[in-house]
Amino acid sequence: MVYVRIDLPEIDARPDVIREALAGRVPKLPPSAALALVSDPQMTGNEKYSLLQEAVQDPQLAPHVRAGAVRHYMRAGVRIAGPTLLKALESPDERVAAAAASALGQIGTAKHIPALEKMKKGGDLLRRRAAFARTLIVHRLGIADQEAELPPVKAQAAPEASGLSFTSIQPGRDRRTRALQAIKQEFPSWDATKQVVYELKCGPRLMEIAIDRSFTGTGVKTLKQRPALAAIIAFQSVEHDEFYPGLLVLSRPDGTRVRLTVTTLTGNVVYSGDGSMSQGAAEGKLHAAERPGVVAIAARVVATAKGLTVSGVSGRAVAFARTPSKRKK
Amino acid sequence: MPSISLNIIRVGSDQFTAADETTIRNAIETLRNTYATVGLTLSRVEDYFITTAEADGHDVINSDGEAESLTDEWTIANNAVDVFFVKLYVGGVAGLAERDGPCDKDSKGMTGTVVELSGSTTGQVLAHEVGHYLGLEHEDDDDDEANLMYPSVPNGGTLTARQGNTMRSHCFVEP
Repeated sequence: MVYVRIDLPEIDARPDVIREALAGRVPKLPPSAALALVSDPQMTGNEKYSLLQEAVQDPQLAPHVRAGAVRHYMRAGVRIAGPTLLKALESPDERVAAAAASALGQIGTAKHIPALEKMKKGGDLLRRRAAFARTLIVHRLGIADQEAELPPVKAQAAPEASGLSFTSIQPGRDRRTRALQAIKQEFPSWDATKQVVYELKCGPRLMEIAIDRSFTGTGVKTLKQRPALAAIIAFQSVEHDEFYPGLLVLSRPDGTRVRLTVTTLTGNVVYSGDGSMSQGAAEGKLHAAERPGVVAIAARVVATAKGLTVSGVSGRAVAFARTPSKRKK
Repeated sequence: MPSISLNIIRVGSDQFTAADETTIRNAIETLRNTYATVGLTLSRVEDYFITTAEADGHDVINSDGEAESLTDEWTIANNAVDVFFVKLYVGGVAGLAERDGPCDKDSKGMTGTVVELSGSTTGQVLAHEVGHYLGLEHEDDDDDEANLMYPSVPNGGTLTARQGNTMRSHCFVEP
Protein backbone atom coordinates (compact mmCIF):
# COMPACT_ATOMS: atom_id res chain seq x y z
CA MET A 1 0.00 0.00 0.00
CA VAL A 2 1.18 3.50 -0.69
CA TYR A 3 0.09 6.72 0.84
CA VAL A 4 0.53 10.43 0.72
CA ARG A 5 1.36 12.53 3.72
CA ILE A 6 0.23 16.05 4.34
CA ASP A 7 3.28 18.29 4.17
CA LEU A 8 2.80 20.23 7.36
CA PRO A 9 3.35 23.96 7.01
CA GLU A 10 6.24 25.36 8.97
CA ILE A 11 4.23 26.62 11.88
CA ASP A 12 5.08 26.98 15.50
CA ALA A 13 3.02 24.13 16.93
CA ARG A 14 1.99 26.04 20.02
CA PRO A 15 -1.03 24.78 21.96
CA ASP A 16 -3.15 27.75 20.84
CA VAL A 17 -2.35 27.03 17.17
CA ILE A 18 -3.14 23.33 17.59
CA ARG A 19 -6.39 24.24 19.34
CA GLU A 20 -7.42 26.39 16.39
CA ALA A 21 -6.38 23.68 13.92
CA LEU A 22 -8.48 21.06 15.72
CA ALA A 23 -11.43 23.38 15.23
CA GLY A 24 -10.61 23.51 11.51
CA ARG A 25 -9.55 27.14 11.56
CA VAL A 26 -5.92 26.84 10.40
CA PRO A 27 -5.50 26.63 6.63
CA LYS A 28 -3.29 23.74 5.45
CA LEU A 29 -3.33 22.11 8.89
CA PRO A 30 -6.31 19.74 8.95
CA PRO A 31 -7.46 18.35 12.32
CA SER A 32 -5.93 14.92 11.62
CA ALA A 33 -2.49 16.48 11.14
CA ALA A 34 -3.01 18.66 14.23
CA LEU A 35 -3.73 15.52 16.26
CA ALA A 36 -0.53 13.99 14.90
CA LEU A 37 1.36 17.10 16.03
CA VAL A 38 -0.12 16.85 19.51
CA SER A 39 1.21 13.32 19.74
CA ASP A 40 4.65 14.47 18.67
CA PRO A 41 7.09 13.42 21.37
CA GLN A 42 8.62 16.92 21.19
CA MET A 43 5.64 18.33 23.04
CA THR A 44 5.78 18.05 26.81
CA GLY A 45 3.51 15.53 28.50
CA ASN A 46 1.46 18.12 30.35
CA GLU A 47 0.83 20.23 27.23
CA LYS A 48 0.01 17.18 25.17
CA TYR A 49 -2.39 15.56 27.60
CA SER A 50 -4.06 18.82 28.49
CA LEU A 51 -4.73 19.56 24.80
CA LEU A 52 -6.04 16.08 24.11
CA GLN A 53 -8.24 16.06 27.21
CA GLU A 54 -9.66 19.41 26.15
CA ALA A 55 -10.32 18.11 22.64
CA VAL A 56 -12.10 15.00 23.91
CA GLN A 57 -14.34 17.11 26.13
CA ASP A 58 -15.04 20.06 23.82
CA PRO A 59 -18.62 19.79 22.49
CA GLN A 60 -17.87 22.52 19.95
CA LEU A 61 -15.38 20.31 18.10
CA ALA A 62 -16.59 18.04 15.30
CA PRO A 63 -17.40 14.56 16.67
CA HIS A 64 -14.92 12.83 14.35
CA VAL A 65 -12.14 15.09 15.69
CA ARG A 66 -13.13 14.29 19.27
CA ALA A 67 -13.23 10.57 18.43
CA GLY A 68 -9.74 10.88 16.93
CA ALA A 69 -8.57 12.72 20.05
CA VAL A 70 -9.87 9.85 22.18
CA ARG A 71 -7.59 7.45 20.28
CA HIS A 72 -4.54 9.64 20.93
CA TYR A 73 -5.41 10.43 24.55
CA MET A 74 -5.90 6.75 25.38
CA ARG A 75 -2.17 6.25 24.85
CA ALA A 76 -1.53 8.24 28.03
CA GLY A 77 -2.73 5.22 29.99
CA VAL A 78 -5.59 4.65 32.38
CA ARG A 79 -4.27 6.74 35.26
CA ILE A 80 -4.24 9.92 33.18
CA ALA A 81 -6.92 9.28 30.56
CA GLY A 82 -9.31 6.98 32.46
CA PRO A 83 -11.47 9.62 34.18
CA THR A 84 -11.94 11.69 31.01
CA LEU A 85 -12.76 8.62 28.93
CA LEU A 86 -15.31 7.56 31.52
CA LYS A 87 -17.00 10.95 31.12
CA ALA A 88 -16.77 10.73 27.32
CA LEU A 89 -18.68 7.45 27.54
CA GLU A 90 -21.69 9.57 28.49
CA SER A 91 -21.25 11.91 25.51
CA PRO A 92 -24.49 12.62 23.67
CA ASP A 93 -22.62 11.98 20.43
CA GLU A 94 -22.52 8.24 19.87
CA ARG A 95 -19.26 8.37 17.86
CA VAL A 96 -17.40 10.00 20.75
CA ALA A 97 -18.95 7.63 23.29
CA ALA A 98 -18.17 4.59 21.13
CA ALA A 99 -14.54 5.69 20.70
CA ALA A 100 -14.29 6.12 24.49
CA ALA A 101 -15.75 2.64 25.03
CA SER A 102 -13.20 1.07 22.69
CA ALA A 103 -10.39 2.98 24.39
CA LEU A 104 -11.53 1.81 27.83
CA GLY A 105 -11.49 -1.76 26.54
CA GLN A 106 -7.81 -1.34 25.75
CA ILE A 107 -6.72 0.48 28.90
CA GLY A 108 -9.54 0.08 31.43
CA THR A 109 -9.67 -1.97 34.62
CA ALA A 110 -12.37 -4.00 36.35
CA LYS A 111 -13.74 -0.83 37.93
CA HIS A 112 -14.75 0.42 34.46
CA ILE A 113 -16.94 -2.60 33.74
CA PRO A 114 -20.13 -1.28 35.43
CA ALA A 115 -19.99 1.94 33.36
CA LEU A 116 -19.57 -0.08 30.17
CA GLU A 117 -22.48 -2.35 31.14
CA LYS A 118 -24.73 0.70 31.43
CA MET A 119 -24.17 1.37 27.72
CA LYS A 120 -26.40 -1.58 26.81
CA LYS A 121 -29.15 0.99 26.42
CA GLY A 122 -27.13 3.09 23.97
CA GLY A 123 -27.27 3.13 20.17
CA ASP A 124 -26.17 0.12 18.18
CA LEU A 125 -22.55 1.20 17.64
CA LEU A 126 -22.06 2.23 21.28
CA ARG A 127 -23.76 -0.91 22.58
CA ARG A 128 -21.53 -3.19 20.50
CA ARG A 129 -18.34 -1.26 21.29
CA ALA A 130 -19.10 -1.17 25.02
CA ALA A 131 -19.99 -4.87 25.12
CA PHE A 132 -16.70 -5.73 23.44
CA ALA A 133 -14.76 -3.33 25.69
CA ARG A 134 -16.13 -5.19 28.69
CA THR A 135 -15.20 -8.51 27.08
CA LEU A 136 -11.71 -7.25 26.35
CA ILE A 137 -11.17 -6.09 29.94
CA VAL A 138 -12.35 -9.49 31.22
CA HIS A 139 -9.87 -11.23 28.91
CA ARG A 140 -6.97 -8.80 29.42
CA LEU A 141 -7.20 -9.13 33.17
CA GLY A 142 -8.18 -12.82 33.21
CA ILE A 143 -11.31 -12.25 35.28
CA ALA A 144 -12.68 -15.76 35.70
CA ASP A 145 -15.99 -15.01 37.40
CA GLN A 146 -17.45 -12.73 34.69
CA GLU A 147 -19.32 -13.85 31.61
CA ALA A 148 -17.69 -12.56 28.44
CA GLU A 149 -20.01 -11.71 25.61
CA LEU A 150 -18.89 -12.40 22.07
CA PRO A 151 -21.36 -12.55 19.21
CA PRO A 152 -21.89 -15.99 17.65
CA VAL A 153 -20.32 -16.30 14.22
CA LYS A 154 -20.94 -18.53 11.28
CA ALA A 155 -17.74 -20.03 9.85
CA GLN A 156 -16.85 -19.69 6.19
CA ALA A 157 -16.01 -22.78 4.19
CA ALA A 158 -12.30 -23.57 4.15
CA PRO A 159 -10.33 -22.05 1.25
CA GLU A 160 -9.21 -24.15 -1.68
CA ALA A 161 -5.88 -25.87 -1.24
CA SER A 162 -4.49 -23.67 -4.03
CA GLY A 163 -4.68 -20.64 -1.74
CA LEU A 164 -1.76 -18.88 -0.07
CA SER A 165 -0.01 -21.08 2.47
CA PHE A 166 1.68 -19.74 5.61
CA THR A 167 3.86 -21.06 8.44
CA SER A 168 5.14 -19.08 11.41
CA ILE A 169 8.81 -18.41 12.05
CA GLN A 170 10.69 -16.43 14.70
CA PRO A 171 11.42 -12.86 13.56
CA GLY A 172 14.67 -10.97 13.88
CA ARG A 173 15.20 -8.52 16.72
CA ASP A 174 14.38 -5.39 14.71
CA ARG A 175 10.89 -6.37 13.59
CA ARG A 176 10.17 -7.97 16.95
CA THR A 177 11.08 -4.78 18.78
CA ARG A 178 9.16 -2.49 16.46
CA ALA A 179 6.05 -4.65 16.58
CA LEU A 180 6.14 -4.76 20.38
CA GLN A 181 6.57 -0.98 20.56
CA ALA A 182 3.59 -0.47 18.26
CA ILE A 183 1.40 -2.73 20.38
CA LYS A 184 2.58 -1.07 23.58
CA GLN A 185 1.50 2.32 22.23
CA GLU A 186 -2.10 1.09 21.88
CA PHE A 187 -2.09 -1.04 25.04
CA PRO A 188 -0.10 1.07 27.54
CA SER A 189 -0.41 -1.35 30.47
CA TRP A 190 0.63 -4.35 28.37
CA ASP A 191 4.02 -5.77 29.33
CA ALA A 192 6.13 -5.97 26.18
CA THR A 193 8.99 -7.60 28.08
CA LYS A 194 6.93 -10.74 28.71
CA GLN A 195 6.14 -11.54 25.10
CA VAL A 196 7.31 -14.25 22.76
CA VAL A 197 6.96 -13.17 19.13
CA TYR A 198 6.28 -15.28 16.05
CA GLU A 199 6.12 -13.99 12.50
CA LEU A 200 3.73 -14.97 9.77
CA LYS A 201 3.97 -14.07 6.10
CA CYS A 202 0.94 -14.64 3.95
CA GLY A 203 1.23 -13.31 0.41
CA PRO A 204 2.54 -9.74 0.73
CA ARG A 205 1.23 -9.48 4.29
CA LEU A 206 3.68 -9.63 7.20
CA MET A 207 2.41 -9.95 10.75
CA GLU A 208 3.96 -10.42 14.17
CA ILE A 209 2.11 -12.50 16.77
CA ALA A 210 2.98 -11.47 20.34
CA ILE A 211 2.10 -14.12 22.91
CA ASP A 212 2.41 -13.70 26.66
CA ARG A 213 5.23 -15.98 27.75
CA SER A 214 3.11 -17.25 30.65
CA PHE A 215 0.83 -18.99 28.12
CA THR A 216 3.66 -20.91 26.47
CA GLY A 217 5.27 -24.19 27.45
CA THR A 218 3.60 -25.73 30.47
CA GLY A 219 1.81 -22.40 31.03
CA VAL A 220 -0.56 -23.23 28.18
CA LYS A 221 -2.78 -25.01 30.68
CA THR A 222 -3.72 -21.67 32.26
CA LEU A 223 -5.84 -21.03 29.17
CA LYS A 224 -8.19 -23.74 30.47
CA GLN A 225 -8.59 -21.92 33.76
CA ARG A 226 -9.58 -18.38 32.85
CA PRO A 227 -10.29 -16.08 29.92
CA ALA A 228 -7.20 -14.50 28.44
CA LEU A 229 -5.93 -12.10 25.84
CA ALA A 230 -3.67 -14.84 24.56
CA ALA A 231 -1.98 -12.86 21.80
CA ILE A 232 -1.96 -9.60 19.91
CA ILE A 233 -1.21 -9.56 16.20
CA ALA A 234 0.57 -6.55 14.70
CA PHE A 235 0.60 -5.96 10.95
CA GLN A 236 3.33 -4.32 8.96
CA SER A 237 2.32 -1.39 6.83
CA VAL A 238 4.54 -2.06 3.84
CA GLU A 239 4.94 1.51 2.68
CA HIS A 240 5.37 3.09 6.11
CA ASP A 241 7.49 0.14 7.28
CA GLU A 242 5.71 0.56 10.60
CA PHE A 243 3.65 -1.90 12.58
CA TYR A 244 0.21 -1.47 14.04
CA PRO A 245 -1.81 -3.87 16.20
CA GLY A 246 -4.71 -5.18 14.15
CA LEU A 247 -6.07 -8.37 15.71
CA LEU A 248 -6.60 -9.74 19.21
CA VAL A 249 -6.63 -13.43 20.07
CA LEU A 250 -9.06 -14.07 22.92
CA SER A 251 -9.29 -17.45 24.60
CA ARG A 252 -11.69 -18.82 27.18
CA PRO A 253 -12.34 -22.20 28.73
CA ASP A 254 -15.18 -24.16 27.14
CA GLY A 255 -15.69 -27.43 28.98
CA THR A 256 -12.67 -29.59 28.31
CA ARG A 257 -11.63 -27.38 25.40
CA VAL A 258 -10.51 -23.79 24.88
CA ARG A 259 -12.46 -21.50 22.60
CA LEU A 260 -10.39 -19.15 20.45
CA THR A 261 -11.77 -15.94 18.94
CA VAL A 262 -9.74 -13.53 16.84
CA THR A 263 -11.21 -10.04 16.65
CA THR A 264 -10.38 -6.59 15.37
CA LEU A 265 -9.52 -3.98 18.00
CA THR A 266 -13.16 -2.87 17.98
CA GLY A 267 -14.56 -6.37 18.44
CA ASN A 268 -15.49 -7.61 14.98
CA VAL A 269 -14.94 -11.35 14.99
CA VAL A 270 -12.67 -12.33 12.11
CA TYR A 271 -11.63 -15.90 12.95
CA SER A 272 -12.88 -18.43 15.48
CA GLY A 273 -12.14 -21.97 16.50
CA ASP A 274 -11.18 -24.10 19.43
CA GLY A 275 -8.37 -26.14 20.84
CA SER A 276 -7.57 -29.01 23.12
CA MET A 277 -4.64 -29.86 25.38
CA SER A 278 -2.87 -32.89 26.63
CA GLN A 279 0.46 -33.44 28.38
CA GLY A 280 1.44 -29.79 28.21
CA ALA A 281 0.86 -29.55 24.45
CA ALA A 282 -2.04 -27.80 22.77
CA GLU A 283 -3.55 -27.85 19.33
CA GLY A 284 -6.23 -25.59 17.88
CA LYS A 285 -7.93 -24.81 14.59
CA LEU A 286 -9.23 -21.51 13.26
CA HIS A 287 -11.67 -20.69 10.48
CA ALA A 288 -12.72 -17.35 9.03
CA ALA A 289 -15.99 -15.79 10.12
CA GLU A 290 -18.65 -15.18 7.52
CA ARG A 291 -18.59 -11.39 7.53
CA PRO A 292 -17.89 -8.73 4.92
CA GLY A 293 -14.27 -8.29 3.95
CA VAL A 294 -12.94 -11.43 5.62
CA VAL A 295 -10.89 -13.84 3.52
CA ALA A 296 -11.36 -17.58 4.14
CA ILE A 297 -8.59 -19.32 6.05
CA ALA A 298 -7.90 -22.71 7.58
CA ALA A 299 -5.24 -22.36 10.28
CA ARG A 300 -3.70 -24.79 12.71
CA VAL A 301 -2.02 -23.70 15.94
CA VAL A 302 0.27 -26.14 17.74
CA ALA A 303 1.88 -25.23 21.08
CA THR A 304 4.50 -27.49 22.62
CA ALA A 305 7.29 -27.01 25.16
CA LYS A 306 9.52 -26.05 22.22
CA GLY A 307 7.30 -23.22 21.07
CA LEU A 308 4.39 -22.36 18.86
CA THR A 309 3.65 -23.07 15.21
CA VAL A 310 0.87 -21.44 13.24
CA SER A 311 0.30 -22.77 9.75
CA GLY A 312 -2.44 -22.97 7.19
CA VAL A 313 -3.93 -21.74 3.96
CA SER A 314 -5.61 -18.44 3.13
CA GLY A 315 -7.99 -17.80 0.25
CA ARG A 316 -7.24 -15.26 -2.44
CA ALA A 317 -10.58 -13.47 -2.59
CA VAL A 318 -12.88 -11.61 -0.24
CA ALA A 319 -16.40 -12.92 0.11
CA PHE A 320 -19.55 -11.12 1.16
CA ALA A 321 -18.52 -7.53 0.37
CA ARG A 322 -21.35 -5.02 0.68
CA THR A 323 -22.43 -2.39 -1.84
CA PRO A 324 -22.94 1.21 -0.69
CA SER A 325 -26.25 2.89 -1.40
CA LYS A 326 -26.62 5.17 -4.42
CA ARG A 327 -29.01 7.34 -2.45
CA LYS A 328 -28.21 9.58 0.47
CA LYS A 329 -30.12 8.41 3.54
CA MET B 1 -9.39 9.28 -25.72
CA PRO B 2 -8.61 6.77 -22.92
CA SER B 3 -10.73 7.32 -19.82
CA ILE B 4 -11.27 6.15 -16.27
CA SER B 5 -14.31 6.24 -14.00
CA LEU B 6 -14.65 6.83 -10.28
CA ASN B 7 -17.05 5.63 -7.58
CA ILE B 8 -17.17 8.43 -5.02
CA ILE B 9 -18.14 6.85 -1.70
CA ARG B 10 -18.85 9.04 1.32
CA VAL B 11 -18.13 7.17 4.56
CA GLY B 12 -20.35 8.50 7.33
CA SER B 13 -22.37 10.30 4.65
CA ASP B 14 -24.82 11.84 7.11
CA GLN B 15 -21.93 13.91 8.53
CA PHE B 16 -20.94 15.36 5.15
CA THR B 17 -21.79 19.03 4.86
CA ALA B 18 -22.40 21.20 1.80
CA ALA B 19 -18.81 22.45 2.20
CA ASP B 20 -17.56 18.85 2.12
CA GLU B 21 -19.50 18.25 -1.09
CA THR B 22 -17.88 21.33 -2.60
CA THR B 23 -14.46 20.01 -1.54
CA ILE B 24 -15.23 16.68 -3.23
CA ARG B 25 -16.41 18.34 -6.45
CA ASN B 26 -13.32 20.56 -6.54
CA ALA B 27 -11.11 17.53 -5.89
CA ILE B 28 -12.66 15.68 -8.82
CA GLU B 29 -12.00 18.70 -11.05
CA THR B 30 -8.37 18.77 -9.90
CA LEU B 31 -8.03 15.11 -10.84
CA ARG B 32 -9.77 15.69 -14.19
CA ASN B 33 -7.50 18.61 -15.09
CA THR B 34 -4.32 16.87 -13.91
CA TYR B 35 -4.99 13.63 -15.80
CA ALA B 36 -5.99 15.54 -18.95
CA THR B 37 -2.40 16.75 -19.22
CA VAL B 38 -1.32 13.16 -20.01
CA GLY B 39 -4.24 12.26 -22.25
CA LEU B 40 -6.45 10.50 -19.71
CA THR B 41 -10.03 11.69 -19.30
CA LEU B 42 -12.57 11.14 -16.56
CA SER B 43 -15.69 9.65 -18.09
CA ARG B 44 -18.06 8.55 -15.34
CA VAL B 45 -18.40 9.63 -11.70
CA GLU B 46 -20.92 7.69 -9.60
CA ASP B 47 -21.97 8.82 -6.13
CA TYR B 48 -22.38 6.38 -3.25
CA PHE B 49 -23.22 6.74 0.43
CA ILE B 50 -22.35 4.75 3.56
CA THR B 51 -24.11 6.14 6.62
CA THR B 52 -22.34 6.56 9.95
CA ALA B 53 -24.38 3.67 11.34
CA GLU B 54 -23.38 1.42 8.43
CA ALA B 55 -19.75 2.55 8.59
CA ASP B 56 -19.27 0.85 11.97
CA GLY B 57 -16.71 3.41 13.12
CA HIS B 58 -14.79 3.48 9.79
CA ASP B 59 -15.73 7.12 9.28
CA VAL B 60 -12.64 7.78 11.42
CA ILE B 61 -9.66 5.76 10.15
CA ASN B 62 -7.23 4.90 12.95
CA SER B 63 -4.75 2.74 11.03
CA ASP B 64 -3.87 1.47 7.57
CA GLY B 65 -5.54 -1.78 8.56
CA GLU B 66 -8.83 0.01 9.07
CA ALA B 67 -8.46 1.65 5.67
CA GLU B 68 -7.89 -1.74 4.08
CA SER B 69 -10.87 -3.23 5.96
CA LEU B 70 -13.05 -0.44 4.61
CA THR B 71 -12.18 -1.31 1.01
CA ASP B 72 -12.56 -5.02 1.72
CA GLU B 73 -15.97 -4.69 3.35
CA TRP B 74 -17.51 -2.40 0.74
CA THR B 75 -17.19 -2.48 -3.00
CA ILE B 76 -19.05 -1.66 -6.20
CA ALA B 77 -19.07 -4.25 -8.94
CA ASN B 78 -18.09 -2.10 -11.90
CA ASN B 79 -14.92 -1.03 -13.70
CA ALA B 80 -14.44 2.22 -11.79
CA VAL B 81 -11.92 3.01 -9.04
CA ASP B 82 -13.59 2.94 -5.59
CA VAL B 83 -12.70 6.15 -3.73
CA PHE B 84 -13.70 6.21 -0.06
CA PHE B 85 -13.84 9.74 1.35
CA VAL B 86 -13.46 9.91 5.14
CA LYS B 87 -13.60 12.92 7.44
CA LEU B 88 -10.54 11.94 9.50
CA TYR B 89 -7.53 9.70 8.87
CA VAL B 90 -5.68 9.78 12.19
CA GLY B 91 -2.10 10.97 11.81
CA GLY B 92 -0.38 12.88 9.05
CA VAL B 93 -1.48 10.41 6.35
CA ALA B 94 -4.09 11.88 4.04
CA GLY B 95 -4.70 8.99 1.69
CA LEU B 96 -3.90 5.35 1.04
CA ALA B 97 -4.06 3.05 -1.97
CA GLU B 98 -2.64 -0.17 -3.33
CA ARG B 99 -0.14 0.46 -6.11
CA ASP B 100 -1.42 -1.00 -9.38
CA GLY B 101 -4.76 -1.81 -7.75
CA PRO B 102 -6.74 -4.84 -8.88
CA CYS B 103 -9.56 -4.85 -11.40
CA ASP B 104 -11.07 -7.82 -9.57
CA LYS B 105 -12.36 -5.93 -6.57
CA ASP B 106 -13.08 -9.19 -4.72
CA SER B 107 -9.39 -9.99 -4.57
CA LYS B 108 -7.46 -10.06 -1.30
CA GLY B 109 -5.83 -6.81 -0.22
CA MET B 110 -6.80 -3.20 -0.67
CA THR B 111 -9.31 -2.84 -3.52
CA GLY B 112 -9.93 0.88 -3.50
CA THR B 113 -8.43 4.13 -2.32
CA VAL B 114 -9.11 6.00 0.93
CA VAL B 115 -8.92 9.79 0.87
CA GLU B 116 -9.26 12.16 3.82
CA LEU B 117 -11.14 15.39 3.32
CA SER B 118 -8.20 17.70 3.94
CA GLY B 119 -9.34 21.07 2.64
CA SER B 120 -7.58 22.54 -0.36
CA THR B 121 -5.14 19.62 -0.70
CA THR B 122 -7.93 17.07 -1.16
CA GLY B 123 -7.75 17.27 -4.95
CA GLN B 124 -4.07 16.40 -5.04
CA VAL B 125 -4.57 13.61 -2.52
CA LEU B 126 -7.35 12.17 -4.70
CA ALA B 127 -5.33 12.42 -7.93
CA HIS B 128 -2.25 11.00 -6.15
CA GLU B 129 -4.06 7.98 -4.69
CA VAL B 130 -5.94 7.15 -7.87
CA GLY B 131 -2.56 7.53 -9.61
CA HIS B 132 -1.19 4.79 -7.32
CA TYR B 133 -4.18 2.61 -8.11
CA LEU B 134 -3.49 3.08 -11.82
CA GLY B 135 0.10 1.92 -11.33
CA LEU B 136 2.17 4.99 -10.43
CA GLU B 137 4.97 4.84 -7.89
CA HIS B 138 6.24 7.63 -5.69
CA GLU B 139 8.67 10.10 -7.24
CA ASP B 140 10.65 10.98 -4.17
CA ASP B 141 13.87 12.62 -5.34
CA ASP B 142 14.40 16.21 -4.23
CA ASP B 143 13.88 17.46 -7.78
CA ASP B 144 10.50 15.69 -8.02
CA GLU B 145 8.67 18.11 -5.73
CA ALA B 146 6.64 19.39 -8.68
CA ASN B 147 5.35 15.90 -9.47
CA LEU B 148 1.92 14.74 -8.35
CA MET B 149 3.48 11.51 -7.07
CA TYR B 150 5.87 13.23 -4.68
CA PRO B 151 5.12 11.53 -1.32
CA SER B 152 3.64 14.63 0.29
CA VAL B 153 1.05 17.26 -0.58
CA PRO B 154 0.77 20.01 -1.58
CA ASN B 155 3.16 19.50 -4.48
CA GLY B 156 3.39 20.81 -8.02
CA GLY B 157 0.74 18.37 -9.22
CA THR B 158 2.35 17.59 -12.57
CA LEU B 159 2.57 14.28 -14.42
CA THR B 160 5.10 13.13 -17.02
CA ALA B 161 4.41 11.43 -20.33
CA ARG B 162 5.94 8.24 -18.90
CA GLN B 163 3.49 8.31 -16.00
CA GLY B 164 0.64 8.89 -18.45
CA ASN B 165 1.66 5.77 -20.37
CA THR B 166 1.68 3.74 -17.15
CA MET B 167 -1.77 4.96 -16.12
CA ARG B 168 -3.29 4.35 -19.55
CA SER B 169 -2.19 0.71 -19.45
CA HIS B 170 -4.22 -0.08 -16.31
CA CYS B 171 -7.04 -2.57 -16.80
CA PHE B 172 -9.66 -0.05 -15.58
CA VAL B 173 -8.85 2.36 -18.41
CA GLU B 174 -11.37 2.29 -21.24
CA PRO B 175 -10.13 3.06 -24.77
